[in-house]
Order: sequence, then structure tokens, then C-alpha cells
Amino acid sequence: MMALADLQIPGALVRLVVALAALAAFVGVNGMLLVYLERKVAGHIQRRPGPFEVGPHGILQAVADALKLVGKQLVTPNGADWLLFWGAPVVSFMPVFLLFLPIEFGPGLYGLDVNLGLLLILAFAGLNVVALCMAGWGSNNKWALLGAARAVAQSVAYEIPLLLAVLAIAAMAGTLHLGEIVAKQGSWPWQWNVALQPVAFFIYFVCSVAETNRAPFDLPEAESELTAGFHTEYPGMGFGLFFLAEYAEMIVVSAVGATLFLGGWKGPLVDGVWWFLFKIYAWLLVMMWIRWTYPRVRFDQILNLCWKWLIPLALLNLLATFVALAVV
Amino acid sequence: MTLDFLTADAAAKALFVLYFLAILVGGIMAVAAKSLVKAMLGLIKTLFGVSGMYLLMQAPFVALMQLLIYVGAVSVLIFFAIMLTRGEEEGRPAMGKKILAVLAAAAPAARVGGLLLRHAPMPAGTPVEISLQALGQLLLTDYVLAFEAISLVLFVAMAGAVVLGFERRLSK
Amino acid sequence: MVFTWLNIAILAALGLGVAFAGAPLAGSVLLAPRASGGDLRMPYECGMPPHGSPWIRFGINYYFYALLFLAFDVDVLYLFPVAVAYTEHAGWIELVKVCIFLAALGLGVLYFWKKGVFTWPKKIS
Repeated sequence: MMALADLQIPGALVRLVVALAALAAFVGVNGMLLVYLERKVAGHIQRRPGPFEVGPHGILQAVADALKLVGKQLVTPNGADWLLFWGAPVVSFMPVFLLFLPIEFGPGLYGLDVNLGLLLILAFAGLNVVALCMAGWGSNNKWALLGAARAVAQSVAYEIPLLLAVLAIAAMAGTLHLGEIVAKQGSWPWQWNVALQPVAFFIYFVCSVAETNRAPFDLPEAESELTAGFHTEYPGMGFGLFFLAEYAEMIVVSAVGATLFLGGWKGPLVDGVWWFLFKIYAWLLVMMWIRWTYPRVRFDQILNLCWKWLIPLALLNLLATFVALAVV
Repeated sequence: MTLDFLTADAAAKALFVLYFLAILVGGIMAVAAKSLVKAMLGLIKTLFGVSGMYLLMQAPFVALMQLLIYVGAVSVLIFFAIMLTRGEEEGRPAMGKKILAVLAAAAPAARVGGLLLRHAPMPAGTPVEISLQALGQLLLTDYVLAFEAISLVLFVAMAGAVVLGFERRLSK
Repeated sequence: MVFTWLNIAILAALGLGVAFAGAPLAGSVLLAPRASGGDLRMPYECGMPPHGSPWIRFGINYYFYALLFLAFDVDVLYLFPVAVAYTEHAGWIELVKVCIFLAALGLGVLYFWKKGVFTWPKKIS
């Protein structure tokens, strides 16, 4: 029998513990930052200053928001299913740290060395759908159920072109290890996968907006028709957790996108974690820009965009990738 | 104090017990829950436990695909199926039905249990993880017929669903 | 049974997620006021008392989309290992094999399109 110490515990376990602690801080800080950033970006796009009262230029607004949310009573609506209702925000937040673990933030800066890293992220991101079902059904509210049905249909529909676009990259790289996919790309933009796979990049980007339920695809919580969609009944921190999970997922999709298409932590002149963070934030800012620029689309338009355009396009792109790999 | 009992083998056994409990508790929840969505939640819990078992058997690809397909897709299908039906339960099931249900569950359990008692499970050796590349290579060479058949079967399944359900919807 | 650190990593990360989500909820339980009575717990429905149960029967449309998704998802399951192995020995024969697979998928989409699964009539019975 092997003692655990022979199984290189120190290495793997220490890395895991440090990574999880760092990720807890990373998600907390960036969640706050994104809340502030979104409100500021929204403000400036609409020619107003955004939050301005709490701290200089309102930088403490997110802290004030968080304290306010914690101070709200957790009300369970009449007739709601307690377990489903309160389980939903917890389940939606549960996989967040796991989604970050396989991502390589910088040279050697990853939480978990796993060959199937990309698949790990895709598999556990699906847990969000379960949380939506629980929230919609458990709330005893018509808006919540309608919003959940829409959200689930939308996020499963957009998962297919997403998977097909990711498959094109996997076929090129010959691996699902995120670190190795970065290693196969160069430092200059024309050596990144986006130069070879512009169509896959475009498809992935559209799907990343749709999967995180952001405008123009924010039908699930369309306030003008569904009040607030699946989180209509959630008070204070219940809503806060959905919100934080959504922002964390935005960071994950942009981090995976930057890894797959934009060379990860590699960049012109000096490689390093700063390039990765820069790319993530550039991606997030574009998502915010889109959100505050375009009007919301109709539900049948969302699904038809996916089934009539993105999926055939993704299939053709994958086919072209296979042909190119066979010819070259 | 020594930590000799903390072997990799013991850790694997502890994980096995954990996943086993997840399967068992999830299964009981799926059967006993009053609301169908809660039953679905129990099923998802069971699926997580099964996925953990695959991980212990050094098959991480199958484990993750179990989650991607069952938790991500099959549970969605079940959710929409629940919304097609009433969702609420109409009263408690009759005693006769309960007994029949227990019998229906006991029959396969007794059969499998009997087989296991008669033939002790063979030690299968230590499982080795097979790389994704090797799996893909097999699908393109030895099992290429199965590979092509899968896409065909799924196409027929989808077409069948459309013919059965969708056309009826239009004719209404 | 083989112990791998992947098990522990997944369990620990999920556990941390639950703890991270549970902490602010616990904070709310401790700090928030406890009001009750009135219509505090009435589900929201634009201000009126809710009319009937929300657990109504939905159209079959959503079910179809879920079914199509499931089939595509299973297809992708088999494409993952094939795509990863493809680079190593990409030849014309492999290309034909993969093409047949993808053609069936593409035909599926075309078939549904023609059958009108993706058209949304004004009224669905």
C-alpha cells in the first residue's frame, strides 16, 4: 500500500488549497468590480455619470449594495417549495470555483492540471440550468416559471453552437487541456487561434453573450414583460447570489474565450498574467457595450438565430476545419 | 500519532462510500418526493454519484459526459416533460399500487443480487485511464460503424419525435 | 478503484462554492429584520392576488427544443474524442468518415427547418 505522502500530496493538495483561496478572493473582488463597472459603463453610454455618491466617483457603491442586500429579510413566498426555492441560488453558485480551476491564468498559474479541462468547464456549467429549473418551479410564481422555461430553452439551444465552435479548436489543437491549447498559440495576434478560426470565434462570442443571459439575449429576465423572470420572488441575498453567479460566469466565458481564441496569457512583447486579465476585461467591456447598445430581441428570434444560423454555420465551420486538417 | 491509515486505497474507499451515499439518498429522494421537480433533483443527485463512480474507475471522460448529457440535457427534457403534465400529484397513490411498485423494484434487485451472491465479482485489476486520443482513434478505425450508426440513430430519433408530436400539434 | 486528486479538487471546489453562497445567506438570517403579516409572502403578480396556480401545462414547443438539444449533445459526445484524435492522423478516409457523421447532423437541422419546427405561429394550440 502506498502512503498518501508518496502520491505527491504536497504538490497537488497545496496547489489546490492555494488556488481555491486565491479564487475566492478573485471572484469576490472581480464581482464587486464588475457591478461597479457595469453601472459606470451603462451610465456613460447613456450620458449620465452612473453611481457617484458613495466614495469618490462612487467606487464604494458595490460595497454599499452588498451590505444593503445582506440587510434584507429572506422572505419565502407562500406556497413556494422551501428546498427548491433556497437551493436554487446555492446550486447556481456552487460550480463557480470549479469552472476556474482548469484555466491557466499565467505561465504555470493554474489550479488543477487536468487533461479534460475544457470538458470539465462545459460539464459543470450545465448545473446552472438545474438551478434555473429549481428557481422557476420553486417560486410559486407565474413570471418565475415562464422566465425559467425561456432561460432553460435558450441556454440549451446556445450550448450546441458553442460546443461545435469549441470542437473546431479542439480538432486543431488535438487536446482539451487548456494550458496546452495556450501553448500551441503564439504571442502575436496573427498566431492566435482567432486568426485561423474567425467564424468559430464569432459563434463563440455570440453564444457567450446568450449563455450568460445578457442583453440583447436577456429574455429570461426581461423586466418589461416578465417582471424579473426566474428571480422575481427572490429577496435580498437570494437575488444577490444569482447576480454574483452570473458575473462569475461572465468572467469564466471570457477567460475560456481568451484561452481558446486569443492566446491566453500570451501577448506581444511580454507574456504574462496581465495579458490574460487585459483580454478578459476587454471581452467583458465589449459584452457590456453590447448590452447597453442593442434592444432586446424576441424569443422566437433568439431561438431561430441559433437553430437557423449559428448551428448550420458552426457545422460548416467544423466541416471546413476537418477538410483543412486533412489537406494540410 | 501516525497517519499510516491515510493511504490512497483508504481515500478511494472513502470516496466510494461518499458517492454510494449520494446515489442512495438521491434514489430515495427521487422515489419518495411529493413534487416531480424534487424527484428530478433526487435523480440529478444520483447522476452525480454515478459520475463520481466513473471518476474512481479512471474514466473521467465518461464521468464528465455523464454530467454534460444527463444533468445538462436529460434533466432539462424531464423538466419540460413535467411542465407538459400536471406537475402536481393528484392525491396519494393507492396501497395496491404501492405494493406493485415495491415488487417491480424488488424483482430486478433480487435477480442481480442473486447473481452477485452466486458468482463472486472477479477482481478486474487496477483500471488505467485511456486517453481521449486513443478513444477517438478507436472510433475512427475499429468502431467506425458504431460511430456512423450513432449519428444516424439520433437523426431517426429526432425525426420520429417530430413526426409523432409536432405534426399532431399542427393538425389540432 | 483508483484515487485521483481530480475527485478531491471537484468536491473541494463545489464545497467552497456552497460555503461562499451560504455565508451571505446566513448573514441575512442574522442581520435582517423579521417582518411578518400582511401580504408579505404573497407571490407577486402585478399587485393583484395571484390567480390560479402557476403550475400550468406548457406547450410542447419547449419539449421539442430540449429533445433536439439532447440528440445534438449526444452527437457532440462522440465528436470530442474523434476531433482530438483527428489531428494525429488526418487522412482522406478519416475525413469521409467524419463527413458522414456531420452530414447526418446537418440533415437533421434541414429536416426540422422544412417541417416547420422553427416557425412560430401566432397561436399554438
